[in-house]
Amino acid sequence: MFNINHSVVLWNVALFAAAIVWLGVSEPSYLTQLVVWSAINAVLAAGMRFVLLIGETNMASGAIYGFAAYVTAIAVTNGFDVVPLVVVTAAIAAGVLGLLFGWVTLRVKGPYFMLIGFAFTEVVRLAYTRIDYVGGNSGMVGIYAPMSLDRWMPALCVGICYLLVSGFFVAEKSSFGLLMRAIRNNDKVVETLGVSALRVKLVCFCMAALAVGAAGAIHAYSYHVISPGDFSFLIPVYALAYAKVGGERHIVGSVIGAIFLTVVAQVVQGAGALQYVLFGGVIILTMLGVRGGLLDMLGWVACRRRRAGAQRIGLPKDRTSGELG
Amino acid sequence: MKLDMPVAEGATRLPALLEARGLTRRYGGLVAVSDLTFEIRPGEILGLIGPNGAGKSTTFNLLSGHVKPSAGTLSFAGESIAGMPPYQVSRRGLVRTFQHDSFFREMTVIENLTVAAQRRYRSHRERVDCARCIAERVGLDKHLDATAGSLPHGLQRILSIGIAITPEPKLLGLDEPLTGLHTVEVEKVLTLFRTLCRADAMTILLVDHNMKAMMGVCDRFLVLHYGKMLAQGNADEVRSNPDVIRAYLGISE
Repeated sequence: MFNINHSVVLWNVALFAAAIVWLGVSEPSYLTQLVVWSAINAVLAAGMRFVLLIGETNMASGAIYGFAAYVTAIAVTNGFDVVPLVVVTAAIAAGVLGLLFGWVTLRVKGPYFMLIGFAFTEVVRLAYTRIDYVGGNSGMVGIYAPMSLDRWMPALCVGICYLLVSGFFVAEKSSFGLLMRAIRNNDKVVETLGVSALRVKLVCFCMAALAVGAAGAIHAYSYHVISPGDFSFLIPVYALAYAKVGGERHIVGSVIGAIFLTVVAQVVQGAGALQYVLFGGVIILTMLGVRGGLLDMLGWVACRRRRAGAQRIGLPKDRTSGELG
Repeated sequence: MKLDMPVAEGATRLPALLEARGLTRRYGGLVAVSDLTFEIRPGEILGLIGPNGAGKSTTFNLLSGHVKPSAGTLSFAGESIAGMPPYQVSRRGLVRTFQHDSFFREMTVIENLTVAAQRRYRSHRERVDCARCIAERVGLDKHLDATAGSLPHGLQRILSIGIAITPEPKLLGLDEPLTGLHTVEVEKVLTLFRTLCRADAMTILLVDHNMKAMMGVCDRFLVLHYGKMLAQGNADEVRSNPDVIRAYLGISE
């Protein structure tokens, strides 16, 4: 039960290696950009899902993501050009912000926690518009990685995102992951076992904040321009959509959902004002069509194919019920 | 099964495991629990009984830190625990169950018990091993991968007990563990209680409405009525106490 399916891990690593090699050899283009955006969104979705494991909806992730992006912008425009160091600094800054926010707010649950997070995201966004040092309403420009690294940035960004998502996966499979799920189920019982539920929630929230912060730094590097409007409550709402559309049951769902909806957003962009209707329509259709998200749809297809294969070689049907590992 | 000398009698010489003095809890004008003074002796099975609304649950919550006392002192193993948060109380060795859903519904049996072993062991593997041991001990070893929410009611109660004994508490508080169990299951659970008490040196505080079972297993009783202590003593003393007969058993003579 606690064993991780080895073939899934192998496939996963192989796909990732292929992506990195491709990103490394190809010139930066619209397509490589799309891969980077998908990777950033995958981290946002996985971070959202990670906090969902303790039963909370983290609407503050917009503020945390934006804060890290602004930290990156300030660092880069002031001449700090060691990319990994900047990303780590931004992630730590985001983690500290997450710690402060979580310490105050994780004492409330459910809709209250969600609303406070939403308000926090909006307040922080409005704060940027009033601070001239970060460019007010028009935001900050010129967030470039050093020229020598330009070619390698997509691969580096996707690599970091991959590590972050893997980190979430490992954390979820550990004892700590069990504790988080136990808290979602029944935090009172967790406390009777000598574990401080608040502390577990805080660690979970901080881990999500660190990863989302790193994603925010990558966002700043890959867009080169940021403004307060980029970091509204739509960030956590989209992250939630990626996680739900992809399938909440497994972290792979978050990645699939992020890639799918990032591509859909690009496709519908040509439709002008209608794009939001189309985008929303796709979300509604997936949610209504497959309850467990795209993950269950893929799992169902895989299952049918395996069953068909089994019938050909004469295996009993019940040996073929498969689950995504 | 029965020992020659009741353990509680031999245990009276030891200092009390838990000591409550003037324990009181008010909700606005309502006094839920008023001026309770009692002690729990190491190694005994103590029954807390009383009609509905007598303050049994409030007393339980006061002991485990889920409700803060309005007045009075509470000490456990020589240390004051009044006003301590529940997880701190638990770390000192007082673990309790709840009347409803004292387990993790969406998780499997082995996952439930692994979570319970969180503070007892440092590595994940040790925790899982410990969980298996406990499952075997309480008779859940055939259901390790079943989701807790899908277990029959009786097994859910047993799982709750399994979770509570995993941290090896000094004092185990069980809030209505027998509700909804059939006779055979009740017998099994009572045997488990006796073993925990005699072999594992656990002290047990029991609240339940199954009087026959309670009279059979408890060494001593506290009887609550309208938030006040009505009587204390062993089964015979409590049964023959005229106040108890009048208030609790509802016989008017």
